[in-house]
Amino acid sequence: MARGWLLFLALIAGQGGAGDARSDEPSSNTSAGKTAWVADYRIRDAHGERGLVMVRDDTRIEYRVANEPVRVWRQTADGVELRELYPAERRMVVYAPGDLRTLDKVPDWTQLSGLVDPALRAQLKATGDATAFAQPLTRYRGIDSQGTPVALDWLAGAELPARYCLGKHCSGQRRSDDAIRLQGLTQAPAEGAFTPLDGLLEIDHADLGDMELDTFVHGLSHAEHLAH
Amino acid sequence: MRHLSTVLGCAALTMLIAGPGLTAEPEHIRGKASNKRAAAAPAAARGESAQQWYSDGARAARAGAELRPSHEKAKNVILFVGDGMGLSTVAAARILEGQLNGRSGEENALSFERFPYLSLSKTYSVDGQTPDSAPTMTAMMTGIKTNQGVLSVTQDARYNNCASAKGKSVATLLEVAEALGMSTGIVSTARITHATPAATYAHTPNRDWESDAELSAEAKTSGCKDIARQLVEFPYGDGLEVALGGGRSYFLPSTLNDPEDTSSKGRRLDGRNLASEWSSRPASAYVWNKAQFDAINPATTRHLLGLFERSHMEYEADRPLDAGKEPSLADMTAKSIDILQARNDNKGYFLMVEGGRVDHAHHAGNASRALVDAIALSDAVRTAMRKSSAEDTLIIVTADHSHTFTIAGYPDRGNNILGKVVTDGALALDADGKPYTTLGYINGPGYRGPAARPDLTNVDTANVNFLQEAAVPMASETHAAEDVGIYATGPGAHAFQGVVEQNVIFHVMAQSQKDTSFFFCSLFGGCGKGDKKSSLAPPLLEADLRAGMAKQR
Repeated sequence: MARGWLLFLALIAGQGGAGDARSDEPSSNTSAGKTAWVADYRIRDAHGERGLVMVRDDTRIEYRVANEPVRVWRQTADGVELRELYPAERRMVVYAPGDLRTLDKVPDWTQLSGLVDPALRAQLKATGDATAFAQPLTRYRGIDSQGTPVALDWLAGAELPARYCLGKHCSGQRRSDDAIRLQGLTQAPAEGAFTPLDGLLEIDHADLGDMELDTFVHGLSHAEHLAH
Repeated sequence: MRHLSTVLGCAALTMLIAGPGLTAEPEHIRGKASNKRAAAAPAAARGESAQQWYSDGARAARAGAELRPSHEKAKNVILFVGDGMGLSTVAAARILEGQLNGRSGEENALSFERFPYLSLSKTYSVDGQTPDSAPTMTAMMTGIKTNQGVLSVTQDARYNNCASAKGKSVATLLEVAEALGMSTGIVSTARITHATPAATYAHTPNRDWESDAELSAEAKTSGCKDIARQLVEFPYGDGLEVALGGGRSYFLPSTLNDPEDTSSKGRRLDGRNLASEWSSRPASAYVWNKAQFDAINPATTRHLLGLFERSHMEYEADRPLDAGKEPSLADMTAKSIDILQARNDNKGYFLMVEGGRVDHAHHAGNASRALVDAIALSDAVRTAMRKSSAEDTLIIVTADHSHTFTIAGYPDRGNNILGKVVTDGALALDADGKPYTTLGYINGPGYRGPAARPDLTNVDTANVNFLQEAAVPMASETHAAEDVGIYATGPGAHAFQGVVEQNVIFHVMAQSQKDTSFFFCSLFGGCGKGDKKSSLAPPLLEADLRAGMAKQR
């Protein structure tokens, strides 16, 4: 479950490690929680090519990937909380900030909200400007810490990548090789943009180990087992 | 005779000629001390010598032999439960506490490890070799073993089946104590509706029915009440005096914003605000943060409900980070005893205190947080000892079950218990030439495979967020079936001898407290010669307790 997801994050987002999100400011490009960015991506990683819908406002980030639970990270006064939503089962597994710390899974909020490791982005060189998705776009090129060529097209207004590519082939225009490719970007009222939580029964992740008799939890444990 | 005189003569000679030599370290100790050491001070610097080992051991043996049990009855009973605090957890926490205090660690003792009486508790349930917290706490609170996942109902009740649990509720010690006019309290760092605290006051065939949102359709149809509601509608005596822990959302309606996490709401679907209902009673208060908690006057507050988190309280290691601020387990224990003792009727009290998050940290494969929470429980026990008298208060410390947590390898004395194994000053290596930690788990999220083990050489394994390695991949580390310790002091503590079934804990408490002892032996015998018994067959069902109370009225 979460382990597979973190693997995905590591693959698509560069070499950034987990940091203390409490020190990170959320993106401020949305209007104080009233609107949210809705970004429609194609991503390519070790598991193949998939769609990712990312919804983001100033305190929440939601990732929707087919055949995976919807994941919503939320800034709280105690730190970052993760909710995994299972609408079909009407359940929601909540990782309290303390649970994420205990599992050593506190995400880097900046990386989570921008998909690309901010440290990697900082070491790339701007090579040109353009416009895409009605946003100003900056082209960055360079190499990562392993010496692999990197191409990044960055939408500064939305603080989101339009394109991220890793490898020698990235200098070309063959988009099918991109690790991250933006296909649509809109701003929408936050209330309707995020997956509704109504009717989802909340379960603490901390309780899963004590809920072996619960059929939903039993199934979750099995799925996690297979993910290893 | 000749042999004896020879031995005695030799002994006298030894005393005469060998005395001075005993103050020096023997050769094997000096030899070892000369080896490279990772962290520990030399034995001499720790005040250790062969003479000291001998003297301390002899003194402990004499003290044990001279120990005489008290045959007085206890006025008060305090039961501490470290959830998942198995013997390896106690040993590692002992070492960590010692090392945090600047010592080698191994020689340290947690507060309750100095209690005079000790048993081992067999934790299996009626239908499980390795139990969960529901049947185990049921055993401790009702005197019977039962099935996995059910709280304070007999084994005739089936898990998740409300109808099957009708008439199967067994009276708990806390309920009997309240019925007899004693004061009662429960404290936990987990939700106050979680299995361990819930087993003291609630009866249900599903430990997860903590609010009405979790009740199944069958449960609602068959008339089962959720656990939070059972706490607030507690029918015995004048209700619990103290309930402190987490689980706020289970008491608040789904229409109400949480006071600390204001973008979240309560989870109750029936619209009831159980916290308000609690505080609407005379001399009753509800608090949700430390400032409010600190402001509570035990002399004027008869019933206190404290719910310090929406769900579980923070781990002790994270408590300073909490936005709303939370009291420690020791703080809650102290305030509870103050409130329970403030009553003037001199009837005594029953208090249950749970270190609930040892279990959660172990499930996550995080030894550091588990051990820090175990130390916090030890601190709470110390507080209880300070605020009560060994003359009239029975204190028991135990665990509901163990975990797959291990302390392994051959680390040097004083080696960081959270660190990598260092033997004779050098990093110990596995068969592949990689270092490994002293602490580990048989299963859990700390599994690093299926590739080869990671190289921990440059990893800070003492970091509070480090997950110890596990041999078997599992999303959540599991409980373990080994026995757990029972540590006891005060009147009645001497009843703990040998290896006992977990439900014996109930019977020791019930037979040691003066009022409950008289009550139970009047019902079921055991008061002595010529005692009269009622026609009831044990165990005491809740329905019989209610009927008895009604008759008394």
